[in-house]
Amino acid sequence: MRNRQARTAYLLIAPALILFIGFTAYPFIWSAQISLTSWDGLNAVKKFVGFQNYINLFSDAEFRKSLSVTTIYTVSVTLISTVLGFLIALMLQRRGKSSVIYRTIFFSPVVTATVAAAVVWQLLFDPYVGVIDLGLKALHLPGPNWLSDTHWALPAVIIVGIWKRLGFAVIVYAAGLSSLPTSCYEAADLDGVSGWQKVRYMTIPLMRPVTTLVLITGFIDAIQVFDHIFILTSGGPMGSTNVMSLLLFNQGFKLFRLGYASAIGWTLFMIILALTMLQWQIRRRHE
Amino acid sequence: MMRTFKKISIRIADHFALIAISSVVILPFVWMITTSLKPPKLAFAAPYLIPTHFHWQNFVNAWQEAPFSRYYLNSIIVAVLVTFGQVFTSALAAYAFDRFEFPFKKTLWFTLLASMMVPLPLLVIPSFQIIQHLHWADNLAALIIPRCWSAFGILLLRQFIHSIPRDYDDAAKMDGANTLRVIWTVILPLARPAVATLALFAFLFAWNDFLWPLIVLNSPEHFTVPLGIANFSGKYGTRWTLLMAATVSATIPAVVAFLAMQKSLIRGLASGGINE
Amino acid sequence: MKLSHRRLVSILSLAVFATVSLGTGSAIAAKKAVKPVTIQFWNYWDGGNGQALSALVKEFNKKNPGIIVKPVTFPWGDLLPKLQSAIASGTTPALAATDIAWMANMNQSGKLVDLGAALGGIKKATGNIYPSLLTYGLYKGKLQSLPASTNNLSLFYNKDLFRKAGLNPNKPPKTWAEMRTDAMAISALGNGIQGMEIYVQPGEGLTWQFQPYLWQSGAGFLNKTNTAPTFNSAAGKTALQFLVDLINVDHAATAGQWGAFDKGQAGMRIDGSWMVGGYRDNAPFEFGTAMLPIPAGGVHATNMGGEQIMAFKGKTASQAAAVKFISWFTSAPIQARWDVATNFMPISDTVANSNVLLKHVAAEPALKAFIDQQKYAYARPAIASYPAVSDAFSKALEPAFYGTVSVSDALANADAAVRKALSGK
Repeated sequence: MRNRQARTAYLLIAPALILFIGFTAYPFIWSAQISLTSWDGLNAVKKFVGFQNYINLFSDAEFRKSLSVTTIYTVSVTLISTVLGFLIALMLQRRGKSSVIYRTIFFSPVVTATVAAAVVWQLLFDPYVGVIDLGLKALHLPGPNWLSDTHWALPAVIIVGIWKRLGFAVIVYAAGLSSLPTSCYEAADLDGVSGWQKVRYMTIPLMRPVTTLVLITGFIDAIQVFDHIFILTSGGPMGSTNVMSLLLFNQGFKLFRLGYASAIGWTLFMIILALTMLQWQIRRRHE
Repeated sequence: MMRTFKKISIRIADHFALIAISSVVILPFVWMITTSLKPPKLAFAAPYLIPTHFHWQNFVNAWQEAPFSRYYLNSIIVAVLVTFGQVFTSALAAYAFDRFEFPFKKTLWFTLLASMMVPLPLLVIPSFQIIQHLHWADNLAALIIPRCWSAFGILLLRQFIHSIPRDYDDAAKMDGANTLRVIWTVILPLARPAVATLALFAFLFAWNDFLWPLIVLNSPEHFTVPLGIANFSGKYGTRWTLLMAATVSATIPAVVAFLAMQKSLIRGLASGGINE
Repeated sequence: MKLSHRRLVSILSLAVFATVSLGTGSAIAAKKAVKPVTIQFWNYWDGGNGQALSALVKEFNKKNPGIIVKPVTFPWGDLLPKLQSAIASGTTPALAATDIAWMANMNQSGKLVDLGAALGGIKKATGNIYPSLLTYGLYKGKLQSLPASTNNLSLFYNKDLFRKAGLNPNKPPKTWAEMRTDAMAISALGNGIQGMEIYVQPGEGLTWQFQPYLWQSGAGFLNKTNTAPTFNSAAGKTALQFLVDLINVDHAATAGQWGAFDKGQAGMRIDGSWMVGGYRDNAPFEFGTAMLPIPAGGVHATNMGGEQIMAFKGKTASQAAAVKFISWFTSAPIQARWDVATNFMPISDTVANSNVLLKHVAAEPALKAFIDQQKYAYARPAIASYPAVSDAFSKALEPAFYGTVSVSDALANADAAVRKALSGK
């Protein structure tokens, strides 16, 4: 009986498992091996170089810059979109009636192909004819060169990143908020608890599982960002928006330094692993 | 008295905040649509957000110069097949993980969860080599088959299936249904919200996907919508109104589709075990 | 029971027999009605050039019913990596047109068809094409590619902005000094308008736009044997300093994304002849062209661009089709019409003197500068490591334009980086 169970179970898992092994597990392990070589993807020869790629990585100024750019981008987009998403969901809930219009507006960026949106944002950010700078100048504020300015290019791509991510946070929080038990809130009202206190001591703790979900998925999403930055700045100017996935792409597919690029990929993974473990520990300690 | 005043002022503040934020969010769409309807030499002239011209010729030209219908067809084929693939493989696997005991179950489960942390850019280099060995380069198969599974999907569906009592399974089995039948007739209908959520995520992922198609595809007739748009920016050069007509074509239908699916999506997310 | 069984069997066998014979029959018939050979033609000609190519290809396909040529256009920066990948995995297209600067790379692959042999001898294949353009395709005595186009860089300027700044719209600058004062006059108009738009984004674009300054000042790029850089010299410093000062001292230019000139927001820029048609149709301003300004004591120089067309070894039918297309595309009458549609420069005297091209040039005054300058065009080093050299050079120079690194440091860094790239990493 047990054997038949096991057999059926494995048959059921087989489709997913085969794809997982073939297209995730195997490439994952293979990329580790590639990262220990100086392969260029063109010749059959793969020279083993040990950890040289990793050593080169950390002594390379371009990589260190990319690391800091990726960190700033990830933290900014994840935190801001999560907090803002929560606040908007709260506001929407306070309105009482569900609003199809607002939901559509906020979720539209999520369903838009990032590349198409980036093409539009590129023109919006144009220092000469873009409406953003035109609007700023109309308010007598300075309009920076955005995508051409080494100080403003990263904020610009962060803005687009938040714009893209916000709707997801709003919808998820809205769903979570709508399934909260009203009994606690009624009791709080009777006790004369203020609105802000309700949010701080009741809503936020109750929303913790949702917050964890939004933060972790947001973090994993943001750290691998590629699409809109590729279109908007290609990592420039002067590497000020050169996130790690872009660096990996250019090293691997333009300069054919596959070993080096794979080392970048593995570094990215290590960071995600470390921070997710950290999140896990923090969560465990809270409980 | 103070209370109601506070309530009303919060209401008004909410109102303003929501309008302000949603205006910023919708700005690109409004500008895109307005510009796409302008005659070429007025691309950057006022008014910027309200269409006063209706130069439909831009859309005709945009569709003539690049095979948009082709891009759409490819994107839809890929997205639909990936969605079906993910739902199918995830449902089967999720059912197995929840209802069965088998050797290595715990190890497999943790491995699957851990795989969600692997960044896609890491996998593209070896995956591309694999694709070339399989002779799937420049083929839609490369976009579909590797993506027909989802750890997130298995996780999501398993949680939901967990809340479905086994009695239902047993009842169906007593009527002579085998495992697959049980899943198809009993489990999936009951898990509809979770399935809808997974379907939406899978569809959006496949629809938006850019890096992988960029690496794998060469011929324009295989391009998906994102790749088509990226290619355009070079093709159209300084013809911005045409470019905007192209992006409108690429984005608006997706938004309209979402509008149509809204209700079931929200229901799906709410009952998809969000609060754990 | 038995009878109907038999009946069923006989009907089935009849059906099978009929299908098989019909099938074989149609297969034989199909073989006789020759299936057209479809070949891909990889290139990076987009915009107007892409459309001109599509029109010509359509014509060829019509004239040759057994062949279907399919143009596949890539962004300039993607074509070389895609070709290298294809060569490595054995999935090359039958035809490709690449930047002349990549030919050294392509030649080494060993996968190119010997066009001389395929077209009845090198002399027959090349006719009177300018010898300087043939050097790219000649490798170890074999002709592996033919020129598909040639062009050069000249000065474009916005006549409306010239007028606004009080400058004579028919007197574009002839020297670096004049270019500087003109640029400053235009940027004085304010509102973010640049006097001169300079290409500062790292990549071949930066290298290719800056090289004319190096050649004009006598600094040069690489030495005669292409084994060492020569730009790290006093003349090189003068050239780079001139541009860097335009940005950071004179404030007549801004380091940023390319595109201001297209939007009427810059007075001048350097660009290629292929842009003439686009500006003619779309620019919201009146434009003019002129030969590149030169420094005091310098020489006329510009960068030679262009594409070479080649065929990759493969199936016999595909190869034959590809060679046929190359022979057709490089023939004088087709090249003349190609140049009329794209504003590329002629590859031979026969093309240059064809009626249709002469008429076109006479009608388009903006082309005169390019034609006059063609004889001063310098070729970039024809070495396999050139893409890596160009990339390294541009990355080292970028910070200088932004003012974060001094000119001498930038050139020194570029020197070291280029030496590294030359040695093959």
